[in-house]
Amino acid sequence: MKCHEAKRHLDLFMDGELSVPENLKVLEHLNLCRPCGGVYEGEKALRAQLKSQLGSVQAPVGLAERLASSTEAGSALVERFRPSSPWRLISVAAAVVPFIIVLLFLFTSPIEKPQALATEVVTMHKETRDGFCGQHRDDRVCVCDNCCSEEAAKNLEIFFQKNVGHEDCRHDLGGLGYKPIGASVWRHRGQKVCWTVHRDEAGHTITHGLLTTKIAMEPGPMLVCDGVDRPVELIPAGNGMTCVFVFDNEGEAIRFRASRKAH
Amino acid sequence: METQAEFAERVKPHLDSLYRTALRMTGENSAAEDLVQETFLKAYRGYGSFEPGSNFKAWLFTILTNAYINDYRRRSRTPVVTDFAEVEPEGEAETPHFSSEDVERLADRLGDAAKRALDRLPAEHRLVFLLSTFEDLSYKEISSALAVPIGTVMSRLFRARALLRRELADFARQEGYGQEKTTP
Repeated sequence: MKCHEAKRHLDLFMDGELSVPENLKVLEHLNLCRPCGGVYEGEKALRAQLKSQLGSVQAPVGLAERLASSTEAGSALVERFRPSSPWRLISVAAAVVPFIIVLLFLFTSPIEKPQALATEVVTMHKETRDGFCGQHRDDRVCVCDNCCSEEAAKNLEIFFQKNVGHEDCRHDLGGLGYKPIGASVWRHRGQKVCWTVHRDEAGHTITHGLLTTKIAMEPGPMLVCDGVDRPVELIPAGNGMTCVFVFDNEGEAIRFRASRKAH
Repeated sequence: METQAEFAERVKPHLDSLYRTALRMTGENSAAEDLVQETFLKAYRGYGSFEPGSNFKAWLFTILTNAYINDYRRRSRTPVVTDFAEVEPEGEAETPHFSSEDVERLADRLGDAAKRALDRLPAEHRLVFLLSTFEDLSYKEISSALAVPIGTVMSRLFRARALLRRELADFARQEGYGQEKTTP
């Protein structure tokens, strides 16, 4: 690949939109060509800087509650631009207050139902399982093919330390034939989670993370399959945290459980 | 259909994303909150059309985008921005690139300069840039959110980035840094 081609493909490469062969070609060129490598480093730094300054804006406190009170029964409130009679306002308030109380309870309650959490982590599993590699961003590290090299392990280590400190659990799934292929940051309930992706040679994927969410369940591992389209294993991890694994299919989940029992 | 509570719970993880995009599109906190609220209501009412298994965040942005283009902009009578093609001629003009040292030196001040540059972008280009750069949506997801072909997403993104780089390079020069390089 020539320099002008590499530069032309740089944005697509950084956006994770190239095919695997094209991606490898660009990567190879960036590793070999110092000037292009410099342009790439500059772009990476610029994106990271813009993301940290513009991309970290958070919704105002109270917006979630305001939204919660604006559905169905409360939708009259949204049409607040229209003049209303005091009686109408009172009747709207009477209809809305019970909903606000229920939703406030749900938003602030520290204990979640396993199924709701499972649905959420399954979405995260699907978002990270495909097209993960080649996406070199500030908030994700990709170790791809060289998963077991010392450098790749170090990169993963630095990524974990940078994003969640030492309070995270990591699992070696090598015994099951899975290798780590990367990790990305997932902001879950306002907390940063390092969401790790492991894959075996057949392409089966396990994603995993430690969430600062307490699950309403008995002590011990639990497999959630009902109502979610991927099996999810939830393991209470103390301090109100839950260790979560998501699998591509039930066979993989059963294999994983059997192997853990064997240990 | 999910209950209101379940739906609110599903939307909550994406609230920051929706709000910051709305803020960069409207430029005002209260307008951004209104736009997010409108998006939320429309999403709740139209939840039946959401395809299970598809990307929920991308679906929410489709609604936010439509709410912005069809309702907010019309209501606020924001003037139609000049076609970007007139501002920025076609072709691969020289694109300035920052070195990582330049970025480090300018660090804190880049954000404000970028905000100003973003505000100057036509809304459609700004939206594509925000969704790709800050919200990590794929070209395909942006294409479906904005109901435009992937080629249009790519050309808008290319132009938005080119203009942004140029504006930031001007800013760097004003600040006394002339280190940015240009691609041949």
